[in-house]
Amino acid sequence: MNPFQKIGTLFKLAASPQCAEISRILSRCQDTPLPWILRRRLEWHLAACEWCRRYADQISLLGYFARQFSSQSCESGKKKLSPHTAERIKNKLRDAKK
Amino acid sequence: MREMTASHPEDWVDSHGDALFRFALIRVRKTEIAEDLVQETFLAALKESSPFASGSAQLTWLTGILRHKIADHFRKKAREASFTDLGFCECEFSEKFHKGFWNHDLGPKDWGQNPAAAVESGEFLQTLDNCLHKLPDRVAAIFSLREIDETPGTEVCTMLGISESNLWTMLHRARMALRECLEKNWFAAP
Repeated sequence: MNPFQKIGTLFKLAASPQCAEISRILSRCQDTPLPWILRRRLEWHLAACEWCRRYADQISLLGYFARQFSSQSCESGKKKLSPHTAERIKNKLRDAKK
Repeated sequence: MREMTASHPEDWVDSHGDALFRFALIRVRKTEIAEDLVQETFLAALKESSPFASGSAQLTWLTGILRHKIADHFRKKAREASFTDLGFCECEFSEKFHKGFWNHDLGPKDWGQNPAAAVESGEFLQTLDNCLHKLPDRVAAIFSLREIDETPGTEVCTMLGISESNLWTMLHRARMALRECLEKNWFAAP
């Protein structure tokens, strides 16, 4: 994206604070710091829109859910290496040590 | 006894094989690929001398090696074919908005006082697993790199050869789909 396109996108986003666009910006701010003008637009919109506040709270939980899922599944999940695969890996390790 | 023997590479498989397999499976989703990555991890670990005799420190060390193997796997996939997936949910959410504003019948519902506590339920984690599996492979890979492993966005873009704006679009759609799926199947399930 060239600098003119970037500026154009910023103005477009800043000038259209509708919920559909705000939902995009809310996701984007999970991944990168927002330019000042977008942060202000976001704050103004969230102050007035209960639906987007709810959306913001909910998508900010998704990362927490996913990390908890990952750590709990790794520690105590039901899925295991099949005995056949475990034996294959052990054989590979034995061969590699020779 | 285990303390005495766990430093032998073949015992790594018994001690840590399942945990590493599950770690890989969550990220790459295919059993055969996860198994191969675990095998590559152990073989790579064999070339280094283990700094830990056994236990959780050893698992952390092996997990670090596996992380690199998974990143290499995604890099290789990205070289074979574009990692960008802009087809997913392209028009899916248009009905959620009316003239750009939330359609109140279809917009985000109240998730209650303490939605974060849902992770204490095994059934919720199963629901989340089902919802994650509904994401297409490339979108799920990007979501797990960003949200589970907290890899910086710029690093994900470099690793997979995608633009930042495409990364944001894919993550936006992943979050919207996942939020929706959890709401339908858990927080506001009939």
